[in-house]
Amino acid sequence: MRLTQSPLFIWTATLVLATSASTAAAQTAKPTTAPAATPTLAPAVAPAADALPSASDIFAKAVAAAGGADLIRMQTSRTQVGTIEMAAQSLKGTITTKSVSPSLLLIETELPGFGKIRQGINGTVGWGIDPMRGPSLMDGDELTRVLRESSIESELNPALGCDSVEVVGRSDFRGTACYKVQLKRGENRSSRFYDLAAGHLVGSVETVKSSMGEFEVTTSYSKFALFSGRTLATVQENAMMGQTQKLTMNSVEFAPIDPTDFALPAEIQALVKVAAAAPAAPAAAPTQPTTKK
Amino acid sequence: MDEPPPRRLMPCDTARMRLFQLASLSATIALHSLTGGCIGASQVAPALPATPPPEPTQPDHPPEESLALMNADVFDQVWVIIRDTHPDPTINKGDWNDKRLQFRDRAIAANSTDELRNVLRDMLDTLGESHFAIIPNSVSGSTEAHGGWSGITIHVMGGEAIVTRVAPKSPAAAAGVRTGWRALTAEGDSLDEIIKPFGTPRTALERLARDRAIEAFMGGRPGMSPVYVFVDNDGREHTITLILEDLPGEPVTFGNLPPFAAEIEHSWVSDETIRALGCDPSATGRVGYLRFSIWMTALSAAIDDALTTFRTADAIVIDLRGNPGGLGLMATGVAGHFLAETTSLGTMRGRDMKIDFRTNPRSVDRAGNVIGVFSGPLALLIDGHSGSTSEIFAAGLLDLKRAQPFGQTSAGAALPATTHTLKNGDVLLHAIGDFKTPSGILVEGVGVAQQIGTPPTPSDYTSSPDSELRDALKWIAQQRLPATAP
Repeated sequence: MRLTQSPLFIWTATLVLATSASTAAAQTAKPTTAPAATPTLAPAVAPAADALPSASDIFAKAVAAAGGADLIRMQTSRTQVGTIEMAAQSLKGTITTKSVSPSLLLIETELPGFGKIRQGINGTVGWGIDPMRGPSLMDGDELTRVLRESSIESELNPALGCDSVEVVGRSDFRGTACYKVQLKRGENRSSRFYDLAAGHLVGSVETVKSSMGEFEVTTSYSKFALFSGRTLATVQENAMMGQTQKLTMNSVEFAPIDPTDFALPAEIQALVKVAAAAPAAPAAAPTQPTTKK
Repeated sequence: MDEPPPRRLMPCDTARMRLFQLASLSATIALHSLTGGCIGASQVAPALPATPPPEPTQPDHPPEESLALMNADVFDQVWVIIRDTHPDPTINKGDWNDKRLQFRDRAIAANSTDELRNVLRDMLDTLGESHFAIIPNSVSGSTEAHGGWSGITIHVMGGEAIVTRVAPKSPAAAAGVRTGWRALTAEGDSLDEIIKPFGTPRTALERLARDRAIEAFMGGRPGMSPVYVFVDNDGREHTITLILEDLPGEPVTFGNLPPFAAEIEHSWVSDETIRALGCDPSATGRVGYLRFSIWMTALSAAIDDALTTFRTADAIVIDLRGNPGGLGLMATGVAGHFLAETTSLGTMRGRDMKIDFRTNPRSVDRAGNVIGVFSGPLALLIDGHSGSTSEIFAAGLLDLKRAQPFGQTSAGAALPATTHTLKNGDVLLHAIGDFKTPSGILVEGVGVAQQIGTPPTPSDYTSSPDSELRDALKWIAQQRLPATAP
């Protein structure tokens, strides 16, 4: 289960929460563009008792453990329902993700006392509405990044778009013996941990950058379960700044989803118009008073 | 048989930590935070006489082993959280390990949860910062906003407790309490007993701590009827009994924070009000007035709708007096109503993160209409109780020259913070970052100060029912001069 760390899914609220909540919903999306050239990978090593496998072998094993590339490409629609919990803050809410390939995505998160956060992609427009900041559009770079990270091809080959990928060794990640793979994309570096035995991606450490800033997030994936032939992690925990956010997936369905579910909300449609207009809409002109205190 | 009514919440001989513990229970302060800040119980310590060095304590009888174990667990939990998340890895260049040695035995020996809380607060006090507090589980787990409400706001000025605001339609307003009056006693006890130990506060934060202590001293539960003595401007004493009411607004809960009352008020400032404050309505134009009690998303839609309505105003006044803060990033959403471009209000830095408080331009309304942002004069009313997110909002917009603050210097309590439920059910509030304006000004400990004219004096509160609003309206009239001059 590849869970994107895209800024789209980071709401840093007062609790400084990081929601890498695109969750597996995003991973079913097919790429909107041709896959990028494969980066330089660490050369395959000769078979030896303690030799490291190549990154491509590790990625291939992870795909196989998830159910295989053919199945992943076939399951084009997905609906997941689960919970989001910040135990230290006694916060627990619901999260629903819907996705249809190639690039339709909707994530709705609701927390008691906070309200509903909606985030989505309709193929060309990435957007978000949250009770703290209001409606907003993703900018070009951000949208490009989210689309890339959400794509099926990225899940099948995490090296896509990377400058370099290197298997740096064996490592323990929260008690699991893993291969540690380092990926470099521009200035961004991340480490991924793949279960040495089972092949699954079980963790990552990444500095997440967004328009709001940057912070290091350690993510773990656990409690793998089978859903219609796919093996997915049902629990994702994001740790940052001494806090932990837990996402638990309770149900996964691959049934078709009504495309209208991904329609842009009225506020977002208006923002798209504003963004398209040049110059931007002027401020309203003052008028004479009609109401009194 | 009815129990005799409690005399009041705070007997004058209460130990300081108990007083501050109670202060922290007050719903008006308990929710300062979440990247805004909870003005916690602990922060008040620096204003008081130095705490004697801790002495090895031996309880009269050893606490139950289970209690001692729990005490140790909770102490260690708090100590580790601060060690690992305090924005300054050096913990303000202090030796945090020493603090463990200094306080752990006392914590383990605590005979009650209250005692443990006080030890923890003593340790947090050594940080000398806002946003470090222990919130009792009885408060954090409650579903009702605590604290009775009289409608009086008190600021200590010149060593005297001055009534700086009387909320409309409040018990105090109904009883005829006026701004500018001096509060002398509560239930027969002199307020001097609270004021004097604070001496002359050096920072806005210390002033806030003192004012909160006064509030706690004068407070009570809804339904209680404390007797107060005030002195008016002519030296006449007024003995007034106020029946405390529930805090106004809708009760809202969020995670393990104490419940709070979310209240919003918005209207056009009437010509009558403008004239009563000595201003000319034709000079000020049409002024929208917005006040909200806390930065919580329960109020977001109402705030957005009010500011949408005020798009047609000549000027807007946002009243942040008494607003203790709340969800920090709400400041970026509300500020977006006034800034056409994405702009930084400031930066929060923590151990392993840097968050830019970038505004979100609010050029559309909730119905999907394009409305643009408001570009007219924006005045902010502040006081010593405006904390955290209110300060982030005010400091950022002031730094960007997009708003002018009017009133007493704000609380100087602007550390982004979060909460953590402890093993005994209490909640630790702890800062995880600092906040600096775009030009690098640290708000913590300093606050936001009025830039134009001078902050109100006691006589201003006597002569005007709302001196901050008066000054704001005068400024607005000046801002509109170029447009109205022939």
